[in-house]
Amino acid sequence: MITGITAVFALTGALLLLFGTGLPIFVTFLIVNVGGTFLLLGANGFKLLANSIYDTATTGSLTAIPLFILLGELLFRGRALTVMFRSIEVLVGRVRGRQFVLAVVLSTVFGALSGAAMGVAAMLGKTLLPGIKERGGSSTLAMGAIVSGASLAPIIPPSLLAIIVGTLAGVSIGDMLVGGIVPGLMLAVLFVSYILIRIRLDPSLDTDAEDVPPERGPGDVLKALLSLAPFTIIVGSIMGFIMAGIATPSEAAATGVLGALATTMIYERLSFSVLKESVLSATRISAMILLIMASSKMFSQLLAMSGGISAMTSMISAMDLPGWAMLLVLMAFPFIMCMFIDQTALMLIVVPIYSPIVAHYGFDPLWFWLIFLVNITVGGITPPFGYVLFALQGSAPNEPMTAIFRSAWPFVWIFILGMVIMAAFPPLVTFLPSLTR
Amino acid sequence: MTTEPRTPGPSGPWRALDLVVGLGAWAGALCVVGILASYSIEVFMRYLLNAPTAWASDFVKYFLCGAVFLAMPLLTRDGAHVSVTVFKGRLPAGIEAMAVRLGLLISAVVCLMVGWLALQQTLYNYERGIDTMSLIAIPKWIVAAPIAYGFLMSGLVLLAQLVRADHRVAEGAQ
Amino acid sequence: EDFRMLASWDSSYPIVPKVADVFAEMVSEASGGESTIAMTGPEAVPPFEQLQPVAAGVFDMLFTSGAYHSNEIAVGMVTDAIQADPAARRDSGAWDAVDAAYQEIGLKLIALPTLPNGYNVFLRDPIGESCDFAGLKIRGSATYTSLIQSLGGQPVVLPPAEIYSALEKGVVDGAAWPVIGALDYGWYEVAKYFLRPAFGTATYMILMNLDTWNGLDEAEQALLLEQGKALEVSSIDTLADVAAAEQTALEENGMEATEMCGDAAATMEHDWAEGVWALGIEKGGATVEALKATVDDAGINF
Ligand code: NA
Ligand code: NA
Repeated sequence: MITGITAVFALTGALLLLFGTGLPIFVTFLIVNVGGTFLLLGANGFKLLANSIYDTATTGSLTAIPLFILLGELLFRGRALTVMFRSIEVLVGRVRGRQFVLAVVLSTVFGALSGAAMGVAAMLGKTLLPGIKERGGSSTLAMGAIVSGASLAPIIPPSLLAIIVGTLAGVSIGDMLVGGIVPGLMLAVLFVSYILIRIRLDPSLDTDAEDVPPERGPGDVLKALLSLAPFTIIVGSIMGFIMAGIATPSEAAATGVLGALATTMIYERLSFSVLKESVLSATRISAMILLIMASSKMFSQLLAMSGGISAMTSMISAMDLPGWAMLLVLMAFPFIMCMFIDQTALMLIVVPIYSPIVAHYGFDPLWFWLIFLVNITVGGITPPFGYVLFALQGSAPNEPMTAIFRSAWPFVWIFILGMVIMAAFPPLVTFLPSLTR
Repeated sequence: MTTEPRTPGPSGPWRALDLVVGLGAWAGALCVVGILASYSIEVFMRYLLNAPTAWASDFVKYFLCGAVFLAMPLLTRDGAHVSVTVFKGRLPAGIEAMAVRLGLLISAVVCLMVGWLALQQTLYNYERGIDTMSLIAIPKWIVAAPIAYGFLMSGLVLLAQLVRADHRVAEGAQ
Repeated sequence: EDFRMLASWDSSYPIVPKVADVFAEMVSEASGGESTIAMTGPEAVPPFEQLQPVAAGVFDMLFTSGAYHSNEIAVGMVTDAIQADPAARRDSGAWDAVDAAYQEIGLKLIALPTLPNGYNVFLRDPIGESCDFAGLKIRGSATYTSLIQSLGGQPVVLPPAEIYSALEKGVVDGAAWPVIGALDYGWYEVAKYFLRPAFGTATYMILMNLDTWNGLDEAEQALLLEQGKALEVSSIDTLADVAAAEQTALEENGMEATEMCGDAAATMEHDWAEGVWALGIEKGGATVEALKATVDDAGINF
């Protein structure tokens, strides 16, 4: 029987090999899980496999996923999103790489409307990506902007990941949420800067010249702002309801959908067919994502059972390193692991083991866990295994997965730069929460 | 010179399969509506009437399980599952067709096997009379049954596609 | 013999180092290093799904709480409503009754380590002059429902992950929880009071796969049972110390006790226990009813 670090390499190796065959990802997970379970536990262990699927599929916090996707679908299918796009287009105005800047600005705004990156990625993959390609823009840069912009959603509140990390690590969830605002906006600025530099260096990446923004006078800006006002209903019915103590974060996902319905009705008569299509589409996308989560759960359980993860983690903590180096190691480990496995499962294993190390090294918990949150968020876009990447492919099925992988990497590096900045300047994280205390 | 291979006209069993898959997906969509409704009712009851429900926070989980696995066969039928498509279109057509069929077969076997395991668990829950862990307990097999359905139906759908693909290869071969 | 033990909590939860790890040490020491217990945590198998794999022999032993598998067998859950007196639990026949019930589903009871005064309620505001929960929404699992209702409150079901923000924002006014374990969740930041008196016992279980058990020779069986019995006695004080330390830590973080007043102060624990028994009988039928009779006869009910 294989145990320890060998098991980690054997299991992840087998998984990567199977990924390469082009089989559906949930199938590759199940093959490794069936095989691994049999080798580690014998045929008796198959009971665990079925139970792990049940356990994941009945996890309460995941109920927010279909709801946030539904919210996006409702906004996208109705005229509301068109209005929002137009208004933000007017506000963004005439800049180089307009469509790409738009992608980041939109995903920042959607990040404040949604708690999960997958929904935003799926939505922008459907709405923005085809337009950019039609206008001759680089789809690689566009997809990179979309998956990275979408990854702001778990950093800018509301955020499900912040709630999970805060709970596991014993950090105030309010602080985790508020603390994400500045880093989220900072990352958005970094993304825009990167895009502008890339386009200055290689103008062929940009869309055609005929992609001109609407003319705008001062009145248009005001009009654009006014027509955005109804969207405060959605922000209000998510963040407002949470802040006012009316709803829990998961429930707020539902009230957010109701808010989206209300918003849509302000702009048009809500048709039954829009409703029908939205619900069906949300069901499909969330089923696709959750099926992978459910099928992958046993993989993390096997890693835990073989003692592989704990062997690796105790190896890390046994190294007697200076603070900055330990921070680097503690961040590098989940970063690498998240390339291959599910972020939530990894957090379940890592957070309890990290907590004493964080205390031992005297790190500010809020600062540490927010960098960790960003790190885990990046895990969603580091190839080959990333839910945000899958969500984008789900909504843009004509894009080869390899192209999506390629598009993500430059933005992963920017995320790393962002984490370095957060590590170097703790007040970026801690100042805003300290005001609300 | 090959023409676009014609799919054999859907015969009775195929149509029945399609019908079940379609109905399942609609039931899954209703589960998503169920999540939305449950949470909305809970917020309304608790905040405005000060009478929180005992069922909402558990039922949303059951609906989630239903949504995922009742809709799963539709994703399978439409080939909508996520995969890493590195070699797609890079292999000679003949080998690619073989690879596709092998992939269908492997996926079918895996789905049927996991579906069978899930069915065993569902039956275990049924026979032992095991309830869900919740305030308003309901039989666990009802919640777990969609998992078995999703995988077993997906397995059947994949087998059907395999058979149809074989038809196509036979017809398309010159 | 090397045993693989599945635990429902990871080692950061004090119960694990203070009870499960201690038991492993005791067994190792008593057997002169012959018998060892290797621990696997909830990252390997989710807490509510652990009974079946141990009963099926995937693992040899299980360290859990009866409430975590009350959907399969209710006898474990109701042990929380039996007074924390190890000797009386055994002399009355209650311990054997629990053991017999678990043997029917393929598990052997080894020990019932217990924390006296195991449960309490965290509150945003102190108990008022009405001496009840009137108008309050209190988060609680099934075992707390009757207590919350008998005090005039509204039970709310929330997953642990959502309790913090629910307390912070006033979605709920309080949360019922074991006296150990709240510290890590940081609820002291958002709820400033813990209700006293605490009530009930938090009874943990060490179980063994029945086939594994039957495969052991008599000396080994006797050793395990002996150490289990010793653990039950020693863990009462150990766990009480853990609870006291946690209460001190909560107080250092700005929490304070709020005393239940009036008649409710005296009847609270009884009401809670009645709720647990009623739930247990609803799920477990005659077996639990018989256990309750045994417990009542011995006078170790609440
Ligand atoms: Na967000
Ligand atoms: Na990743």
